[in-house]
Amino acid sequence: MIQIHNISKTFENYKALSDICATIKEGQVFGLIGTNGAGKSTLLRIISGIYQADGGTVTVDEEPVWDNPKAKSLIFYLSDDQYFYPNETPMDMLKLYEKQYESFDRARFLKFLESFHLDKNRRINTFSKGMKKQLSIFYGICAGTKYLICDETFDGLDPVVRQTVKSLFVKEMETRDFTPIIASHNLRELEDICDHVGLLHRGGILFSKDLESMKLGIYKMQCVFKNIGDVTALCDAFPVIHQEMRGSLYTITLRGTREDIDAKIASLSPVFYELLPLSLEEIFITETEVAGYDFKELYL
Amino acid sequence: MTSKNSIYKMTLEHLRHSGWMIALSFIGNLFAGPVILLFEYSNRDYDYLATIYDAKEFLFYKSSVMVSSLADLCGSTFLAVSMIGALIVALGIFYYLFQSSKVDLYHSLPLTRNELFYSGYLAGLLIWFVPFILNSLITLPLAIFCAGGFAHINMLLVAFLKMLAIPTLGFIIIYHLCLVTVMLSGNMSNTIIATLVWGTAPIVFYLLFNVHFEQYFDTFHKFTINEFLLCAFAPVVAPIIIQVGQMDDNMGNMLGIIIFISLLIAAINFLVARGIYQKRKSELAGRGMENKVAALLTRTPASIAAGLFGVIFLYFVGISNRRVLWSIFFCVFFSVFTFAVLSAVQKKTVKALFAHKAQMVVTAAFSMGFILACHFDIFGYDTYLPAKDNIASCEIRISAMNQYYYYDEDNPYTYHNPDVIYDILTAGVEKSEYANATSVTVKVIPKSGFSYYRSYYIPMDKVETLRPIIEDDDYFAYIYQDYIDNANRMSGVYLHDLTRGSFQVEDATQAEQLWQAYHMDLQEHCSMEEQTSYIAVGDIEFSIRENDSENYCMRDLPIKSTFRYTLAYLKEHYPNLALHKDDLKINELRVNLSLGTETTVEEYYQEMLTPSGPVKRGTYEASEDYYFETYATIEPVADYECSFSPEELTWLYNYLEPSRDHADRLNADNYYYFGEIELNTGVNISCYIKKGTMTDSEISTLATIVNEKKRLIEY
Repeated sequence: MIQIHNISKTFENYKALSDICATIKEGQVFGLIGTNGAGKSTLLRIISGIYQADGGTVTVDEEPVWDNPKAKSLIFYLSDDQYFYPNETPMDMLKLYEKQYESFDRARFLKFLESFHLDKNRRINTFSKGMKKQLSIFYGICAGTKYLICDETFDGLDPVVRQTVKSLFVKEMETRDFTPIIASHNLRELEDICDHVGLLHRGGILFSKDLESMKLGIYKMQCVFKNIGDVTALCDAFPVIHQEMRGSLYTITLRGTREDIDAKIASLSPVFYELLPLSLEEIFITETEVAGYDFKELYL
Repeated sequence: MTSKNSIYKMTLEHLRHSGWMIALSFIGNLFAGPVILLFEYSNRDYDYLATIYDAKEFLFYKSSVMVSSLADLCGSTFLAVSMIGALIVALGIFYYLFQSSKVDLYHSLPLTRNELFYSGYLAGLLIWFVPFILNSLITLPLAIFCAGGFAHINMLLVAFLKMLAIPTLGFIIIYHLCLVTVMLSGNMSNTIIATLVWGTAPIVFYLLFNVHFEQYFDTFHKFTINEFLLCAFAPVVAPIIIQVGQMDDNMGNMLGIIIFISLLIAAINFLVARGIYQKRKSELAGRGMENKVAALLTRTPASIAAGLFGVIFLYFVGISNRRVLWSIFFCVFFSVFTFAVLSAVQKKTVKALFAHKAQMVVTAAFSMGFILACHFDIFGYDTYLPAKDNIASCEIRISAMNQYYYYDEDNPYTYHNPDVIYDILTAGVEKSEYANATSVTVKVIPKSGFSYYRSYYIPMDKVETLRPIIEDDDYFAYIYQDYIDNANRMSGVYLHDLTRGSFQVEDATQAEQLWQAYHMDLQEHCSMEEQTSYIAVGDIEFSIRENDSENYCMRDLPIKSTFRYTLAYLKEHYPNLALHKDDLKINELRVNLSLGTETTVEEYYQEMLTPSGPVKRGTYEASEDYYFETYATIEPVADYECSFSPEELTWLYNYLEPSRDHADRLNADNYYYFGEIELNTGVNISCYIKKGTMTDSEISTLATIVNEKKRLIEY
């Protein structure tokens, strides 16, 4: 388990992270989402032991991660711009990882290269961006670490490979103690694979919840009422996150339990009422809008 | 916790990716050692061995040359390569710290910062040391081989160890310094700038303060730092000073302390670098110099030095009016310019040119204040005069009165009369005020024991203040350490290039007469009259009788204005004694023809060593194209005596330099060796023709004359 407690990080005068707390449990896929410049990469680098936090602690399986090979040996970090030595082939890079990660599975790595048609003797700098991403994921999986940190690693992969990698992650989780931590802006992808999501915004964490429970707490509905006072009554009864009106059709996003909302709607006798499924993207937009991350007024 | 196994594995990984550095290191060391040694061996002139006629003696000298080449030449080139190599290796190994993606890779590996640091450090050492040691080991047998197999093994081994030790010291010092700057910086340019500034700042300030400081900055100040202090403040120069031999001459037993201090500072730098690396922020990669203290310590000394250099630059520009105003302008401009540029480089943006305005103003003001304080003597440094009764003694060095004095910095002449010292201190002026003056450097030692230096000029109208010292017997004995203090020790005189042979004292009367003349010359020599310029045509060398043995008091003294009493006395015995070039007449010109020969002294003596018999001197082949061999090629294949007509001699004499003084300059390649002249004084001297003084047609004419004369002799 990775425990993040009150992590802060400042770059010169810019506060990148402020009192972040989160827990990444074993055996689940943790998705890290956030607005641009929210501090996702910084947080992942701190978890990986690359950056040292100005304040707070990060422990990996109860070991502090900073300058601690024991904790770092449990983590493989894949950056959004993974470094490969110039003029080196996948086999050359393999030597580095083999030396540093004792449980590196060479045979499996070679099998991956063969299956994905990556020439093991071709120089990596001649690979396409997507091929490099594939290669780095294979290094990460074959390193055999408990935690695999992927910083926007899925960006650049074609849909087939993306699905395959997702399947690989699932298979890894079934066969061994494996916890991927994935930061991405592609929320649709995360929605498919993640069990738990943390949302960062302006250096602070807005929430860190299981995906299902998060969806259960927020509801979006479309409804038409005879009286406008009924709309007011509904909005007074629940914390409204977002409200929109087109003609007599109201689209309202609010927090509450399904039962309470159903009961309230029934008491108001709407002309039309429909509960809509909420996607992760909508949750993201909704939550960040609440936090003031809203640029619509600039163009509407 | 540091794991040796992890360090070992990561060191190998570093080495695996440092092929270009290993190759560069090997090539650099190859050229610094074996190649330069063989080049020197092939290219060396053995002309100075021309007087050696014994094969064993020749081999001895040849061996000495190899010892010298190994310790001095290869030592110097190895040192240069090692110092540059240290910078390259430190930058190359830890270059990953400047690239964000590479830092992510390295710092995410399951290694401690210590393990990463040590592995990089060791890889850097190996990259330089292995090629260095390999090439050194190649160089040693090569040197033995080049020495002809007769090498003095002990001497060669000592030279070899010196060749190993000094470059190693140089590498360690620069490597560790560069590690500190790498750790503090986020990119290459800042690392190089910081290394240069911190490595050379003490030397730059030393040079700024020590070279004509009092002239540039209008002060009596004399910078008194010696090599010991310089090395202590700037260990970077220690190996250079040791290599060039300054330490041997001036420092003596300080060598061990200097090496100890250098290694101590290197060790501190190592610990500092390691400490910074442990805490180094990975996000520094690609940025400028984020550490504010380090950035300040880089741009401030560089800007102050630049400001002071601005004042010196004024002298090169040659402005003489409104000098103070121009000094301020140049000082402030250079200081501000340097500060602004370094600020921009450190922040990696031109917007940062004036990012530290307050610091910039303070730095420029300090530089300006420094020169103004010197010029206007704001702190009363120049006008300070100690109370007479507070003066204990002074160490004094008088120059420009005559240049043939003896002075030993480690054992200076000390004078104790406070009245005289006070008068000298009072008479001291700046050079700019008096064109006609003699310089005096005094170290005043008050009764408190605290000493201070001043560099004065004593104007000629106050030169009498120096007379008590100059006429002091102790001072006289000090500056003429080989002084012949009584006639009994006067043994003889050798007159080089003035006449043939030497004058030997035959009896006590002659000894007394010669000693009187000599003593009068010395008195005149020590007089405070300025000497006139002259063309020297020879040397005078006294032999001294001392305890049944004779030694020689060689003084490379020009003849015209000094030792005239001695020469006048000797001229009674040598009517043809020449005191000046004008006195010389050519009796006969003997031309050593060296036509077409490629025989060098080395080959010549190699032939002597052959057991097959007599010496082969090569075969002379007459050539239509006459040319003069350069001085470097010696031992011509044949000698021909040519007799020239008076007209030809007169014509030739215009081109010849029959002067030993001028001949000494023949190490330069701008002279042709022509031949040997017999002078009217009975001396044979070599003569030379300066390149370019004869036209091609004149050379052709000369060739024709020589060829004709040669034939006349031949047939």
